Amino acid sequence: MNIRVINSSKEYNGKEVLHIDELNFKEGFVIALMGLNGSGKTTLLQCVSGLEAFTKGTVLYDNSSSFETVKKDISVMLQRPYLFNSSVIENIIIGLKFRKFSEEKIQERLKHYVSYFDINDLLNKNTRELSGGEQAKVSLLRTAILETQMTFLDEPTASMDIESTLTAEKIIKTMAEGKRSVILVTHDLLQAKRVADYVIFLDKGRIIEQGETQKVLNFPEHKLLRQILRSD
Amino acid sequence: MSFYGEVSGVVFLSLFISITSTIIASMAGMVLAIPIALKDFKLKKYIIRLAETFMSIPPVLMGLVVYLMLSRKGPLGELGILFTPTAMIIAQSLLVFPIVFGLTVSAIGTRGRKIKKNCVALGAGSRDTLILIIKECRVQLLSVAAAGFGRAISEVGAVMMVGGNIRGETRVMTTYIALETGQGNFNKAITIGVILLLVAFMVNFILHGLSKIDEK
Amino acid sequence: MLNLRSKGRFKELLLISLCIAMVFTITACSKKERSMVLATTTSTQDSGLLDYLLPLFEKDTGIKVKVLAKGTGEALEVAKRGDADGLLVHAKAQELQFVKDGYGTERLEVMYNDFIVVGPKDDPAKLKEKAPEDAIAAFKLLSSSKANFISRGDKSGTNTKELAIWKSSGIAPTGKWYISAGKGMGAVLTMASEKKAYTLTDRATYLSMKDKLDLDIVTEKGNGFLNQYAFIRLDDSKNKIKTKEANEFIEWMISAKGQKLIGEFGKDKYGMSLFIPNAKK
Repeated sequence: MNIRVINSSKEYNGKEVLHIDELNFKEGFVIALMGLNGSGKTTLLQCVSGLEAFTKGTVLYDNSSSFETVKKDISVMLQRPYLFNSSVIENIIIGLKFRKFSEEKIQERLKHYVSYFDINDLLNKNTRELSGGEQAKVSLLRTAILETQMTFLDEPTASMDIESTLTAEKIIKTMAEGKRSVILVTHDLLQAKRVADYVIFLDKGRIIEQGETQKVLNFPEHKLLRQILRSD
Repeated sequence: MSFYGEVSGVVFLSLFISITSTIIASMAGMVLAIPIALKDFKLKKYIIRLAETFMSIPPVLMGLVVYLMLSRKGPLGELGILFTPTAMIIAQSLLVFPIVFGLTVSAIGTRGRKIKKNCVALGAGSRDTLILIIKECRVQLLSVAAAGFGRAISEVGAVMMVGGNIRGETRVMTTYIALETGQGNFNKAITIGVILLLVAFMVNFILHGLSKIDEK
Repeated sequence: MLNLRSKGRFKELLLISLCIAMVFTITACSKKERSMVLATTTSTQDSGLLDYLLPLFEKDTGIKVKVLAKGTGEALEVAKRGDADGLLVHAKAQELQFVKDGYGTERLEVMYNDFIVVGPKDDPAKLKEKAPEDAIAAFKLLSSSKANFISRGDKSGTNTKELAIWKSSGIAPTGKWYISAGKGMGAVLTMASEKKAYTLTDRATYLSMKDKLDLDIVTEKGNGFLNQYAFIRLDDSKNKIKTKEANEFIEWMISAKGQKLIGEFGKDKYGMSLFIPNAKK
């Protein structure tokens, strides 16, 4: 699915926190949204994924503005996800249940995705008993298992250790196979370099630079970006 | 009828009326309150304020309104249900409804919105979202229902007016106590009073136990 | 704005339907058995007369009488609204007006007893000494001594009689000593006992509660202490009421059997009839 944002802005309490003149998300890639805290990355992610709405402007999904028709092809992992008060398995498959998948299909996918992380002994535990890292894994899995056309991830590996992060990135790459896309908010420059095809850099609610990862992160043009990355 | 025969009749009727009203009012109250708690819209503040006002409506006033509606000369007179347990259930449901509504809105509040966002993020429809919110906030919602029940079982004014305190028909624990105290039969009144307290404790105990079970 | 599609879990929907079904079943069931609502005074209830008579009536006819015990005034109002099927009260003037206004078709006397004045055992106003059989003199004494007096204050038959006596004595009772309670006879007697006050009551209710009260009879058997109870046949063209059941109740109460039972009430416990049957044959 390709997504096009045209002349859109978001206001909170009368203050404009995000303004996009034009933005294209091409299908089939992993696109990273980066920027300092408060730059509007999460706002942009939430508005494009349909969790929030732009105050003004248009978003076209596959060249039409009907979000309702593409809703089922979108899934989101929020920054501090809420795990439901039930077992790990229940949480992972809940999205499939919403979409009325058959029992066999559910088991098939469950088996596949659970194998990524070593969580077999956690499967029947209540999510409230898990550590931060374990909860993050479960959250990623419950989004990944949906295999949607478009997946939005907001700092998915923030609470994960290095080993889990690398596994997570493996999963993220599979989410962008074929025409599927991933939009990923991350603070981690190295992660962006490892995983993202494109990077969009935001500051104070506006895009200051975007393009192929290698180019933007190694040879930034914008003054501010150069400042930030030079301290690397 | 022996005293104990009368007592069990009165206690049973109290429980039947209060439990039924609480269930009706809770279902209606929660199903209406949750979507309102989750959305932000212009009239929201006024609706909540309205609910808060009705929460503390004097029961006798509600009794009067229901009486006038159900009386033969009133708009619903044809039903002929004044001075019956049905009328009492109607009056109590109306009293408990705003309590459940108002408390549910505050109980769901921010947590409900978080849950909703996560549900939408995973592709849930509104029905699934509502069910999940109720499931996740089970504990809070049960205590809201308990508060509603407390109001119902201890209420005296409305049930007195629309029920008529007819012996064997519409006499409940509270109206019984009022009557017997006025007659100077303090022993009887105190006995029922103690039972009323025990019932209140037991129901709260059960509700508490139910919420504990859910916390696996 | 409101998504009415969301109706909650199936289980919860089932539960609420169950409750509503139960409520309507109970309502429906109670409609099948024969019953009627009798609006009456608190004295017929508080004295225990109805508790004694009604089970016998139900045994004979299968009709359950639901007793709405209010003061006469309130009972008349309830009957006017059509919320009661039968009416048994004791305030002749109000009853006649009620029939005259077209709410009732006939007034039938059924039984009587008498009013008495009761007061605290130490009798501070000295009614026993100075006015043992004179209602008007008694009331004059109460007013002048400003002894605490509790009035029913509810347009009941007793209240009507009380106000009539005040009128005859030419006194309009005001002041802290005159307490208007707005309660039934039993409740007022309890209050009088607590507050060591005087009150006007029918003999039957007083006798049935005597052991719980700290009150003695101070004035009795005077002029104007007659307490006549009567049925009023309600006009069913005004409201939809259970005329058949109400008429059966009246017939039973004025029948030889009913009258005999009324006369026997209280004899073994109090040594005297609490209500004297006087229906016209």
